[in-house]
Amino acid sequence: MEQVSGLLSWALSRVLWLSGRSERGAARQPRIMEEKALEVYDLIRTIRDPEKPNTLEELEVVTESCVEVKEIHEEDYLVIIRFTPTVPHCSLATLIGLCLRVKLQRCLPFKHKLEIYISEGTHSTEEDINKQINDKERVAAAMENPNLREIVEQCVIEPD
Amino acid sequence: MCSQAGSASAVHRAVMERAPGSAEARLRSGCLGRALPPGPARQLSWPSDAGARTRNARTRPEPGPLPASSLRSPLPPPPRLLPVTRHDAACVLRKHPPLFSFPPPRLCWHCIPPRDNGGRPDPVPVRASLSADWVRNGSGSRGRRKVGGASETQAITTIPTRQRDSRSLRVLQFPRDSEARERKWRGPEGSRGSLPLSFCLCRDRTLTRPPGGWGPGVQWSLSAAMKDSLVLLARVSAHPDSRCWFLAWNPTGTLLASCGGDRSIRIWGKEGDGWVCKSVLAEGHQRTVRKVAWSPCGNYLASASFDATTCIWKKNQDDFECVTTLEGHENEVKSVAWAPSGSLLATCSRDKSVWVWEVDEEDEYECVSVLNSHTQDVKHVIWHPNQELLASASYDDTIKLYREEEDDWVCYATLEGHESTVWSLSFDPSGQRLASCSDDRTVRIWRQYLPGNEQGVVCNGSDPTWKCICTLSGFHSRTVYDVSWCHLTGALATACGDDAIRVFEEDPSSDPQQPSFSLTAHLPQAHSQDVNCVAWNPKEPGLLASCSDDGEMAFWKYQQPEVL
Repeated sequence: MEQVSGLLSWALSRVLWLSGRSERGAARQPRIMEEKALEVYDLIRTIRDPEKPNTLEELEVVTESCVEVKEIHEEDYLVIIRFTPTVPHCSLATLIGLCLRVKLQRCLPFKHKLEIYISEGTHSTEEDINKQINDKERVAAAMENPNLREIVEQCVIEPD
Repeated sequence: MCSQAGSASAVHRAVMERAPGSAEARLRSGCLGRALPPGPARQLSWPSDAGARTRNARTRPEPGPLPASSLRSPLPPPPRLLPVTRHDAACVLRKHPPLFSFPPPRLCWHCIPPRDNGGRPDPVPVRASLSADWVRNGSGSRGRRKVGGASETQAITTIPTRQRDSRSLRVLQFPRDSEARERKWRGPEGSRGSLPLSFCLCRDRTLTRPPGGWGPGVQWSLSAAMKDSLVLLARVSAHPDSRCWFLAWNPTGTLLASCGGDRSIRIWGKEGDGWVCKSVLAEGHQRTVRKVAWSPCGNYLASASFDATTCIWKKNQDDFECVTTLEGHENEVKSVAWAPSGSLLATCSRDKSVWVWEVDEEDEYECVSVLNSHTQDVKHVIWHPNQELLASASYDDTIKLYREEEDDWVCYATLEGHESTVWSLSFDPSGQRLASCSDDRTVRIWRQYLPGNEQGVVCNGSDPTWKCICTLSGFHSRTVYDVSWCHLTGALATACGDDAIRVFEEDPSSDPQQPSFSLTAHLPQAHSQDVNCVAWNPKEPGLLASCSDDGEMAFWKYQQPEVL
């Protein structure tokens, strides 16, 4: 089932890409953005949830539509991710945000600026969490904490 | 895209902030003075369009004497400014549209009016002259109608037909010589004042082209002026494979300390044209070093780290030795600052506190105060340049000011206004004003009002009040991480998360209580990642150092653009 859906999405992206090639100019832009968004999604869907043994995709914490890519400059993109935490518990939401940031920082090939938000209405203290996740000094300090780092590394590790 | 749009609207805003009257006056002198050809043509009354004069010179007979009645009841005085609106591409004479004129201008005297009035003549008396040289009727015929008698009361219209005969072209064409063109745009020395080069506001407040169109021309020269005003001198890979968090010049401006995510501090000195690493202080901290600060004497260096400690390094010729480690904070220390007296040190941390330390002659450090005023992480502390006054910026969107009162430190003012984390602070050279930058993408300027001030600002007892006198918004497209006020030139540099460095200057003619700052330099891709810090050299005017998340450090030479 997964393979079929994977094949379908691949086929769809190829069809879109092929149809995109026949168009010129501005019509290309949304295609490129979609491709980039898919690239980002491909990286984040395999991240594991800190608490449960499932990936974020399986838990529907992230979906394809939650990734938005905009172009800032040539070759510089703004990636916005809106994820839905499963548990309305403070520390886990920030941890998921941390995992997303670390994974993309390490693996995303193109130059990007990242903004991560909790999708609206899914958490009681979402503004606080959004502020924390997007504060790069806090993120850097958190990653230097050995316990947190250990957890994040476990979550972000590539599946074999 | 963002940054360019931002800078265009920033210029727009900066221009908008000018007093319209003065700018208009300058434009007026710039335009009309040049538009008129020299010689007897000047005696022609408004609109004094030399083109029309040359057009009609051979086809019209000389005007006869005016009937007496016209002198008794003269026509209303002509508007002083040429009314212009959209020019079509064929319009040869391009004039600066006036910033403000009433009644609002309707048509370009040289082009066919764009608006369709149903064929009826435009009721605005565009031209009126006692000599009535070229009063035309609405159909644009080349006939001449004498002013006088009943026709005076008719609406006089001057809808000229487009004329492109070679004579008018010759007279009106913009000078081919680029220098003369430059002079035309810039106006006589000093006339343009602080308006950015050649941008002018239309009636509908859009930025319009200057005369001559966009040639090798104006927009280029404006953005080039801004780009040329900040020139790269050197780029150094300060902390390879990690980020460079902060830079600090020593008080004599000869050494630069940088600290980074690789837990080390590097001291850089200038050798010839390049910058070399004089020493690496690697063993002091177990985690990222976030900030470094030189003591006012230049012999000590304090470093704040995420391992919750602050190290004090003593300088021995070219070597540094860690003499003390200050512990006490519960979490990462975010900032450290030396007081100008040299005997006080302040540190702040994620544990929401600000600690004030005192140092005596034997290099003994003692904590004299723990200030728990903030409700969230404290990001930055800075001392006032002249007084013993401490300012702290926090994650809780506020700035707090502290002073010593009867042996203890108290918070006497809270500056609210930012909508998100305040990242950094910088005092101006006099210490009267404070610049703060924030995650809400703005930079705010605050001013101190002492008790009994002339402006009538209410003060709480004997404590001065601080008020926000200026907000620079729309210039930055992402978080502003650092702001630095040059103590030599008064320029304000900002480091932004969109990889750009911007420099602002205060307009010399602006009111000190409501200053306006304009963007004088904008370098969109100063670094390949977020710029974390900008620092002006304290001794060499115009030398700016910046560091970034990509681990690189860059040196820039700033020159104020000529227009200011």
